[in-house]
Amino acid sequence: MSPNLLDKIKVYGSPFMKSLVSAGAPSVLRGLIIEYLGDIDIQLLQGYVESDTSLWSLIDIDNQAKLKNLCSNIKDKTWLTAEWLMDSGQQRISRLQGSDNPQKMREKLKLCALMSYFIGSRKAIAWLEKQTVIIKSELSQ
Amino acid sequence: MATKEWIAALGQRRDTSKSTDSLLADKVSERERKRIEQQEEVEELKHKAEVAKLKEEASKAEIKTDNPSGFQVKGSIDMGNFNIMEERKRAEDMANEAIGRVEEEKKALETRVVETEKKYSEMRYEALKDLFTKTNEELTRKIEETRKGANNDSDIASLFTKLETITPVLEKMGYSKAPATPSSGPSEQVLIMLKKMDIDNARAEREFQWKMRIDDKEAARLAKKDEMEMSYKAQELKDKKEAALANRNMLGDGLETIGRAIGSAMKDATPGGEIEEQAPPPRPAPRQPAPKVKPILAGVGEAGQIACPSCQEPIVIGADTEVATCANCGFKTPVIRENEPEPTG
Repeated sequence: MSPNLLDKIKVYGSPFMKSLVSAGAPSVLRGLIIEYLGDIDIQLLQGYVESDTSLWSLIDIDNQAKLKNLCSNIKDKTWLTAEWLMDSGQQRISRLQGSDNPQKMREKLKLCALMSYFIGSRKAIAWLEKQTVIIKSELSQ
Repeated sequence: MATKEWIAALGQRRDTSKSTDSLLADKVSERERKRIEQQEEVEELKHKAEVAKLKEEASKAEIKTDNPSGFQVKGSIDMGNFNIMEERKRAEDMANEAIGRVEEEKKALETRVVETEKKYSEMRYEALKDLFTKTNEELTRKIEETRKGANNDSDIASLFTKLETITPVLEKMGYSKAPATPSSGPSEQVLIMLKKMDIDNARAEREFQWKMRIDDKEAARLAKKDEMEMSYKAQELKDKKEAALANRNMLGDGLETIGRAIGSAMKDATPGGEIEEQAPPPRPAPRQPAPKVKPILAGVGEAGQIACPSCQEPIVIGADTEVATCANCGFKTPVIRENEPEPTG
């Protein structure tokens, strides 16, 4: 491989990777947030909602830095909304439909409980919208 | 005797006072008559002499026949030359000439007949044209009058009166079958023309209907073809969309899994932690038909969790939840707080 070709790959590879990360970041972040939310106990979540606790503050500082580093290449974060999160949860539930995997079944149970809470409670969905705004502002810093 | 005949033929003299010319003419005619009378007398005498001579010869001949030893009279009669072929040819020429004259006369007559018929057709056409023009003008005038009358007077009775005045005109135009009145109605030729026009109109109408049916069939065929093409395109687009969605989901799933893995790694405080064995969750009951909706009774500000009546998946009820909705199947259950009156209906 000639050095010129390597230089060209370096020149064009960096923006390509950046655009690839930018295009795939929503999916990565969606999986990350769902994983976080799915791991939260529902009663605990109800307490967070009632006490208006920030979700971002629950994340460790190291992980916050990693998340910021992950989303540093994402300029447009307008897609990060409560509606987008709800849609992501619904899609995840539909994908887990009919699965015999015990882990996936457990995940489905948690997600169903979580999503039904957000669907039925106005306060919960308002809290989620607030959290998305906070997370978006934190990631933009 | 002959003199008397001539006198009878020429008539009696009339002694009337006439002019000199007439007298002279009378004299001349009288002299001429005398001359003719004299000539007649001479001829009569000659005739008598010949008759006597012939009688004498006849008597002599009878004497001869009575006496065979007497002389015999011989002679011949010249009948002249008679050429049959010439006579026939001449007769044929005359006949041909006569036939030619008759043919010419026939041609001339035919020409006259054709010209007369042409003139008659033109006259008839002009007459029909005049008739139609007058009828049209009359109809237009009547319509205008009726329209003006309808504008000025909105009374329905007057409108019907106007309609009655128009009706005969329309009948003349052939728009309705009116009984033919020989005194006032159109002539037979006009009726035949109108009938022919009706037949032509009916035929044109039939052809139009036929063409319309063909056009309708063609339009239906084209519409069906378009619909099939559209459905084919729609199906094609749908397939493409589904394929694109599947690709995106495939990519998204992969990236989401990465994200979930990152999240899981971030949560785990102990890197490379052990996997704890956990008991699988209870298998949900098979989906049953949607049960009857029964409201959930709860206290004010009370929160909790129930199983979906439809799919048995968990439904979390918040402190302010009014309608509990299953995130899995969408089953909705109203939540009634204890101090709230139960909604009717």
